[in-house]
Amino acid sequence: MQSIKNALLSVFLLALIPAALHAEKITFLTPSWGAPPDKALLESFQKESGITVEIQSVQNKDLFSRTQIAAATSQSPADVIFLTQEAPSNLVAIDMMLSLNNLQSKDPLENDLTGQEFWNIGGEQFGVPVYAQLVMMDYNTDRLKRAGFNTPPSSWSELKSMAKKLKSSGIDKHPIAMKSSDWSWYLMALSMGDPMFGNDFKPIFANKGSKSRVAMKMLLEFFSEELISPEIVAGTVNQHSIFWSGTGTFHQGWQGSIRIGNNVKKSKQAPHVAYMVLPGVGNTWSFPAAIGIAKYSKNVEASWKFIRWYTGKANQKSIYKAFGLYPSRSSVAAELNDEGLVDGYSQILAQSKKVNELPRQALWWGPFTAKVSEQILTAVQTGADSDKTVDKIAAIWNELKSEYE
Amino acid sequence: MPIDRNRGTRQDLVFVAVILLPLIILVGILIYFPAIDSLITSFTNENLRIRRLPKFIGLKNYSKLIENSEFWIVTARSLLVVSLTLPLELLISLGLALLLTEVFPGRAMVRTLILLPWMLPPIVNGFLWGWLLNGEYGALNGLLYQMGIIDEYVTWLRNPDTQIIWVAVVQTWTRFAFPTIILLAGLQSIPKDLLDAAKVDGASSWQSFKNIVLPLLMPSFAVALTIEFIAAFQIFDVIWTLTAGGSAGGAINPFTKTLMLYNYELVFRDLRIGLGAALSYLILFLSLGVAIVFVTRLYNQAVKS
Amino acid sequence: MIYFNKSQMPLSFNHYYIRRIWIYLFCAIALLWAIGPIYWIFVSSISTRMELYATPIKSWFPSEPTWDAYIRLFQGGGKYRGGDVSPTEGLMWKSLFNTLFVSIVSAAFVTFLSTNAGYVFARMKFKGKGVIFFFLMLMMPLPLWVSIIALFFMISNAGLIDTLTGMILLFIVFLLPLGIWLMSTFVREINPEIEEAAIVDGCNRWQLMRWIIYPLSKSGMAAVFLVSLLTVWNNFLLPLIFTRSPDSQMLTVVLSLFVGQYEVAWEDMAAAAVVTMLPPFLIALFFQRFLIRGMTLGAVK
Repeated sequence: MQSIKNALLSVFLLALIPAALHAEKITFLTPSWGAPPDKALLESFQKESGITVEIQSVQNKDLFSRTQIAAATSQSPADVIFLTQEAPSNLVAIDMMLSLNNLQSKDPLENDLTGQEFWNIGGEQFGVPVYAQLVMMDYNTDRLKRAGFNTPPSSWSELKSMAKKLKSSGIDKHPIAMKSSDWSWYLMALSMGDPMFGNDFKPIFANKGSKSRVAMKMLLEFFSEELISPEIVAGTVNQHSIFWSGTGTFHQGWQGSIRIGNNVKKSKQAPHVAYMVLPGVGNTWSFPAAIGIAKYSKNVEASWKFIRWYTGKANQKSIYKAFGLYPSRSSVAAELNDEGLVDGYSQILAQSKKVNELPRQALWWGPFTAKVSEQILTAVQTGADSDKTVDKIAAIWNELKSEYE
Repeated sequence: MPIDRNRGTRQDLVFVAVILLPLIILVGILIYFPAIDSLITSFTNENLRIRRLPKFIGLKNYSKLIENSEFWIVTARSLLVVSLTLPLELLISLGLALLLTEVFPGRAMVRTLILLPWMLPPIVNGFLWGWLLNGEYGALNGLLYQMGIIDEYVTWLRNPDTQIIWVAVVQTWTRFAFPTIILLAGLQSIPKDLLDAAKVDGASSWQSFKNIVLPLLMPSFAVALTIEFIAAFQIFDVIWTLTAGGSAGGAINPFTKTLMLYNYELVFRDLRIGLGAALSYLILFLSLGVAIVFVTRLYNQAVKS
Repeated sequence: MIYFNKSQMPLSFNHYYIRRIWIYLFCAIALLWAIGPIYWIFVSSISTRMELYATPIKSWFPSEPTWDAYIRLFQGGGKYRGGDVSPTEGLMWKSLFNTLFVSIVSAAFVTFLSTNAGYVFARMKFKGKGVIFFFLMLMMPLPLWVSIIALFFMISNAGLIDTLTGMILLFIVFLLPLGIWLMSTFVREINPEIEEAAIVDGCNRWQLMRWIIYPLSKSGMAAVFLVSLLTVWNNFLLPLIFTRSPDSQMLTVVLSLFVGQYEVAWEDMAAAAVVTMLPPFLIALFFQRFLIRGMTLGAVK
C-alpha cells in the first residue's frame, strides 16, 4: 500500500516539474506605446511558451529615472526594457543593458529586420529593432493651393517665401508648425545637406559657412517673423497639437503623422494632410526603437523568447495598426502596404532613401541635445545672433566630449 | 503632592521612550542613513555615465557650484517665486480660514470644495493650466474673449517674466488649501472665553482680531509659513509641467529654472550625482536657514504676547 | 461660532442679512477661484477633442457630451482603433484601491504617532528633548531624491520593492516630521489645567492620552490626517521608483501614462483626474466636521 502511494506521489510530482519549469515570469518595462496592443496575441504567446509577461508602463523619462536609480545600485528594474533613441546615451552608457551577442549567435536575427546597426554599439548588439520612424514633414495641401502653390517647396528658401505668402494673404497666421528645440534645427540642417557630425564625433556643423549655420539663422527668423506661433515658445503646446488644432500649414511630423492629421476626430486639418519629401537635399534622420534585456536579469532565455515574439510579424502588424508605428521588418511593411494600410507609402519610401543619422551612440548625447534645445530657446527669447548660438553649441559639444573621454 | 516622585518620573520616562524610540529609529534608518550616504557622494565625482570608480574630491563640487553664476541666478529666481507666491497664498488662506469659521448653511460643502485644487495630481495640474492658458485654443482666452475683455487671444506665457508670474499664480492655486486647513485648525483652539471677555470689555472686531486672534494663531501660522516657504522655494512640479516642455529630450527652460529643476538636471539628466548631491545639500542648508529664522522669530513673538 | 458679532443676537434683522450677503459673496469668489479650473477639467472629460480645439468661441458645456473617456478608463479589453488605445487599461481600479489603501493607512499611522509624539514634546520634560526634536525635524526640507538611491538599495534588499507595505513605511517616515511639528503645536494650545486635574485624580499618561488629549485634539488630528492623506495621494516620485507592477501601482503613475509619444490624451486624463479627486473629496467632506470647535475648553471637570 505504502509503495503504491509513494509511486503515485512521485508520478504526481514528476508531472508537476515540467509545469514548474514552464511557469516563468518576466517583466517588461516600456512606455505606453510599447505595450503589446493585441491582448489575444499576447495571451497565445504566454500559453504557448509558458512565460507570463508582466507589463510595466511608465512615461519615457520616468523609465530612465527608474532604470538609472536601479543601475546605481547594480540592479535591474525589469527583465526586458524598451529602448528609444535616447537609450544608448541614457541606458547603454550606464551599463544597464545586456549584450545580445551570445543569444544572437545561437539564434541569429533575420535580415529583414532593418536598423540593427543602430543598436550595435562597440561591437555589442544591445537591442533588437522594433520600429523605425523617420522624422518627416507633412503639410496641408488645400491651404497651399489656396495660396497659389500646387506642389510642396523644393528648397527651404522657397518654403519660407511660401509661408510668408500664406501669412500675408491671411490664410494662415502662423504657417509653420515647428518647435523651438533641437529637432527643428537638426531637420533643417540635415535636409539642407549638412551632415553635422563627421568621423570621430567631429562637430562639423560648427565650420564656417556651414549649412547648419544657415539653418540656424533661418530657424530663428521663422520665430522673429512670427511664421511660427509664439505659443510654441511659451511651451504649453507642441508643434503637433498646434497643427492639429488648425494652426499651421507646414508641420514637422513623423512617419505616420498623417494618420492622425487626417483623422477627423483628432485634427482640424483633416483630410488635406500629405507628406512632403524634405526640401533641399532632403536628408532626415530616424528615431528607431528597440527592445533589449537588462543586465542583471535572471530570466535571460525567457526574455529572449519574448523579444523574438515581440519583433515577429504578428506583433509588429498589430503595433502598426494600433499606434501607427512603422515596423522594422521590411517584409511586414510591404505586406501592410499591400493591404493598403500605409498612407503615403510612396513618399515614405522616397524619404527613406535620404537618411543621415545623428550620433546618438555618443555617451553624452542626452545632455547635449537637451542643451541644444535650451540654447535655441534662449536665442528665440533674447533675439541672440544665430552664429553665436551655433558657436555656443559647438563649445558645449566639445566640453561634454572631453568630460566623457 | 504626596505622590511617589520616583515612580512618576520613571513611568514618565518609559512613556517617553515607548513613544519616541521607534520614531527615532525609523527616522534614523530611513532618513538619516540615506542622507549621509548622499552627503558622502557629494564629496566624490560620481557620474553614472562614466564607468569608473568615484574619486573623493572633498569640497570641489561645492566650490564648483558656488563659483558658477548659474547657481546664483537660479537661487535668485527661486527667491523670486517665493516672494510672489507666499504673500498671495498666506493672505488667501488666512482670509478663507476666517471666512470659514463663520457659521452659515453650506459651510461644510464650501470647506471641502476649496480643497479640490490640492487634490489634483501635479501632472494633471500642469496640463490643465497648459490648456487653460494657451494662446491658440485656451479656455482663459475664450472666457475673456466672450466677456468682451479682450478681442484677440493672448499668449499668456510668452515671455519669461509672465511665465514666472503665472507659475506663482498656479502654485498658489495648487497649494492654498494646505495653509487654510492648518489655520482653520489653529483658529479652533483659540479659547472662546477670551474673545467673549474682549467683547464685554467693548473691543471691536478688528481689535480682538489683532490683539487676541493673531498672536494666538502665530504658532500655526509659523508652521504654515515655513512649510509653504519650503514648497515654494523647492518648487518643481508646476514649473516642470507648465514651462519646461517636459518632452523626452529633457530640455529645461532656462528662464524658469529654479533650484530644484537645476538639481533634477544634474542628477537625472546629466547623471552627475556627485555634483547633484552637493547641490541638494546646498538647497537643504538654504531652506533650513530660512525656516529656522521664520520659526524662531514667530515663536518668540508668540511667546511675548 | 459667530466671530465678529458683538453679541449672540443680531443687532438687527438687516445687519444679520448684510453679513450673510458678504459671506456668500466671498464664498462665491473663493469658489470661482478654486473650482473654476476644476469645472474645466470636468468639461474636458466629457468633450470631444475637436470641441476643445474650438476657437474663438468656446462652449461652456459641450454640445455633444460623451462619456467615452470614462468608459475607456475603466474598460478592460480596449478596442484598438488606430491610435485609440486606452493606456490605462486594467490599471485604473487597482491603482485606485492601492492609493486609497496606502494613503489611509499611512495617514492613520502618522496621525496616531504624531499625536503621541506631539504630546511628549508639548508637555513633558526630559533630558535631550530639544536635541531629539531637532533631530526629527532637521531633515524636513531635504529634497526627496537626495535619499533615493540609498533608500532604493535598502528597500530592495529588504524585499519591499513593489509592496504596499514598503510604500506605507516610506510615507510614514516622510510624513512624520511635519505631523509631529503640527501636533506639538496643537497640543500646546490645550488648557493644561485639565491635564493637571486628571493627574491629581490619579490618571497615568496613557489614560490621559486616551480620555483627554485625543478628544481635545480632534481638529488638529483631522488636519494632520488630511494633510498626510493628500500628500500621499499626490506624490509621484516614491511610487515611480518603489512600485513596479499593477500589484502596488498608484494613481499618480497611472495618470502619467496618458502622455503619449506625440500627444496628450487630455480628455482621458481629465476623466482620470475627476475619478482621482473623488475619494479624497469624500474623505475630506467627512473629516471637515472635526475642524469645528466642539469642546468647551474653558470648563474644568
